[in-house]
Amino acid sequence: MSSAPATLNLAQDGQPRSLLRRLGEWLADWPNPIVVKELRQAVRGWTALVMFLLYLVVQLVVVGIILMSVAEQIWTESPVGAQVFLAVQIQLAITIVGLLPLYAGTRLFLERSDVNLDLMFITPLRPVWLVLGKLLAALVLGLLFFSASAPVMTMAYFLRGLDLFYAGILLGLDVLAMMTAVQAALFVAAIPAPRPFAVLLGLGVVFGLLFGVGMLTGSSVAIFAAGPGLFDPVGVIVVSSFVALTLVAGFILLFTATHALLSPPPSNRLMPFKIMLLAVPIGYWIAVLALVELFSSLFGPTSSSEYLELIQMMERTIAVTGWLAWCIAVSERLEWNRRVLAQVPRTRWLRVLAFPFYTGAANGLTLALVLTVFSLLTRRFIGFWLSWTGTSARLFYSYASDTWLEWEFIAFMADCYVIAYALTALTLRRYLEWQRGKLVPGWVLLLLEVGLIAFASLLVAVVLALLRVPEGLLAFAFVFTPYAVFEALGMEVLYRHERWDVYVFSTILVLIWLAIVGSVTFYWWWGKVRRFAPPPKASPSRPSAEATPNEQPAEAGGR
Amino acid sequence: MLVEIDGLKRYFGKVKAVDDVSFSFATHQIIGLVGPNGAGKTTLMRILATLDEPTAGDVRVDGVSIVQYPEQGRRLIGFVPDSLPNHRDINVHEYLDFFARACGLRGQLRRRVVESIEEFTNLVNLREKSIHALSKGMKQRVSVARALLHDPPILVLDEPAAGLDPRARIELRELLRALCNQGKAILVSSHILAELEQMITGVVILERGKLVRAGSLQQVLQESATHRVVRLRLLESLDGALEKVSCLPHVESVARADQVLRIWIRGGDGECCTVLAELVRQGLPVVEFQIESAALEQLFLAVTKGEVA
Repeated sequence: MSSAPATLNLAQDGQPRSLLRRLGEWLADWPNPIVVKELRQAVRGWTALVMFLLYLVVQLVVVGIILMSVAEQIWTESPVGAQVFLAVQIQLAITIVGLLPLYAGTRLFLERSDVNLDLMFITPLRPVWLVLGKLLAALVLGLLFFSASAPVMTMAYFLRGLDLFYAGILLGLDVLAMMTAVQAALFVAAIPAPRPFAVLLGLGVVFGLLFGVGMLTGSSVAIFAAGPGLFDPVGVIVVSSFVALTLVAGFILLFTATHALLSPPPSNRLMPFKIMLLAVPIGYWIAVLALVELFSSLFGPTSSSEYLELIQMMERTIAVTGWLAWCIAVSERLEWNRRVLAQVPRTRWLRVLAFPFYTGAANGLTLALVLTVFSLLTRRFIGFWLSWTGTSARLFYSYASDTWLEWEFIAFMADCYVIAYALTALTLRRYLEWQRGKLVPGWVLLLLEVGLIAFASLLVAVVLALLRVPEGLLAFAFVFTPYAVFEALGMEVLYRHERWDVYVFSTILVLIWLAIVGSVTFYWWWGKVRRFAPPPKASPSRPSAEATPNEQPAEAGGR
Repeated sequence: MLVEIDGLKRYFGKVKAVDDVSFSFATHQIIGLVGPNGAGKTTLMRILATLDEPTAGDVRVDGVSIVQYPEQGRRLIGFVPDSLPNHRDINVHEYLDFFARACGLRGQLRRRVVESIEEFTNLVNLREKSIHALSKGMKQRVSVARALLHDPPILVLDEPAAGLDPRARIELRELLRALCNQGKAILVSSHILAELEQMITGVVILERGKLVRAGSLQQVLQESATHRVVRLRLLESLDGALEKVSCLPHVESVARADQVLRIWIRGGDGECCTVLAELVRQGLPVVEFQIESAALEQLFLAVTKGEVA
């Protein structure tokens, strides 16, 4: 800075420019600023560069070793290509589903820290651009790894033995898995957690990514090492479609959740997530029906035993999603701020529809109720619908008539627990945080709420196991258990010991619990409903409205 | 443009970092935010920069609440945090170009604005240098340049002079004055009070999160001082006057310096009036009766106790 600074003139540039020049400028301006910055930093920094060079070296070494070990078979009809493709596919999966998301997540986490807060969070960039920018930058780097693998994959095709059908499906899943994994890492990095929690979350991400890598490499190995002939191509298409659907659903939810975390807290930032949380299971459900119908008509009912497993998978996904209702319910704010209230619809019927999207608790409960209805209706509806269309009625008829009541009963019970947990967590928060003026610190509250889930999921089971009760009684370990855990552990015990009475016991328990928590929270709910109204039209805090003067602000200088 | 801080509170558990602070400032003003360490200056500035949410209260810019609408606040406020940029993998020009893009500047305009800012903050010769390789003063310039990119009418600077050498401090002072003359409202915090005093038009003093004093610099200094120092020049010789003056009511002591007397008066402006009236009544030929301004440092020591929140 010189001692006499020049005049700062940032006036608009009004000079006319040629069409070609304007087109050039548009092309230069079009990319998301975050993408430009990230890629510039990736080019200048060493992390991405080292990762890429290492990738090339490892690929060269691995493919070299494989080729040397099968050198004699290359000139025969042996399927060497499949082995080479498998090696590259595993390396690609580790990189794009494991390392790349870690890289993207770490970068976002570091930019959220206090030391480097300047880079993104002082800009007027919209949150959706922030998330998109980070995601696209990671995907461009991912594309680099794909392109680095392309020559070797092409070579694998010429080495014979590579089934393009399976290779195409795996590469498609690679792309979707990469998108979802990157988005998951960005989501966790965007959580404003204190450092110890951030470390725990980071470890969770690492395990999650390892799981993703394991699934992808496991599928690749199963298909290519065991030989494509082992699998029914129809089965592979069906399974892949549903896996792809799950990945897309997960991606959409994670994207909106990350967007919510990066949006300004005073806005109703959870609203897009709440909408998606309702829309995604419905979309998922419709897509499953459409795919089942499509595959039934294409391939017929004879080869569609996978459908049942897939519908179960859908139910489990919906049930797991149902637990997000708990998170949504406890995200409740004590009061709506002026900005949020200003957006409340003025029409009464619209307000009724909007209420769940403005209220964490109401949204959590609505979500839980919707998912309950879905869980109850799915099998019935599929059965009736397919009977009506006549495509694969027999398949569903036998299944639905035998056990539908049992399944729907379990689903009903499980969703009642979701609602009960959500209301209890809310009640805890209401009494400990709001009504008593922060009676306990935030972290104690968090521990209490997590403890509630832990109690539900594990404690009874652990205590019963420690008491060494007879195995038949272990079924009672699952009376408080959420649906997903129940699916994983409880069913086997219940089936083995035929303790279906546990369901009845569990359901009575949850209904009593619901009645108690419901009555405790009723007046609070009623008050919330009554307060849900937009402010008068000339709201003082809206941008277009006039300023409200301070009551007695000390003036630091003349105006 | 008027910035109103109204009953602002920010509590971290039991710690009241900012406790019911209200003041306002406007364009063409440089307001110094001073207070001991832990007084709540940075917290207040982070709330102004929309990086933190207040527990209660509001910050309004021309009537628009930036607590409720932080997106609008970011367009109106340029913030220079106390932590300087320290990125290894980006150079000065790229750094500014990114922020210009993020601020929505496009094409030729973006290039021109970035160049203009680089010129204004004297960064032209450093544009290709990695930010990590810059000195503290240079990083401070980059930080100020970044805050100016979207031409915000309000600038909030948290300890911009900390760690700068004397030359860089003078340059920063000149820069802020130039920006103030161009119509910006500036809130700047600093511990270097003597330097702050040379550029600010108003002052806000915080201690333990509470507002201790706020107002125009002159006004605060005058209101807060328990003594006034008056410079008195008479038409005739001072020989006899010294004794007369020292006997006047409210006068604590008198000292002679060349052809003027420096009088320490106990009290405020009213007491000064009394002394002046008495001088005239006693027939002393008063040519000059000027109240010397108190120093910000003295005021700061007088009104704060050095306690933290």
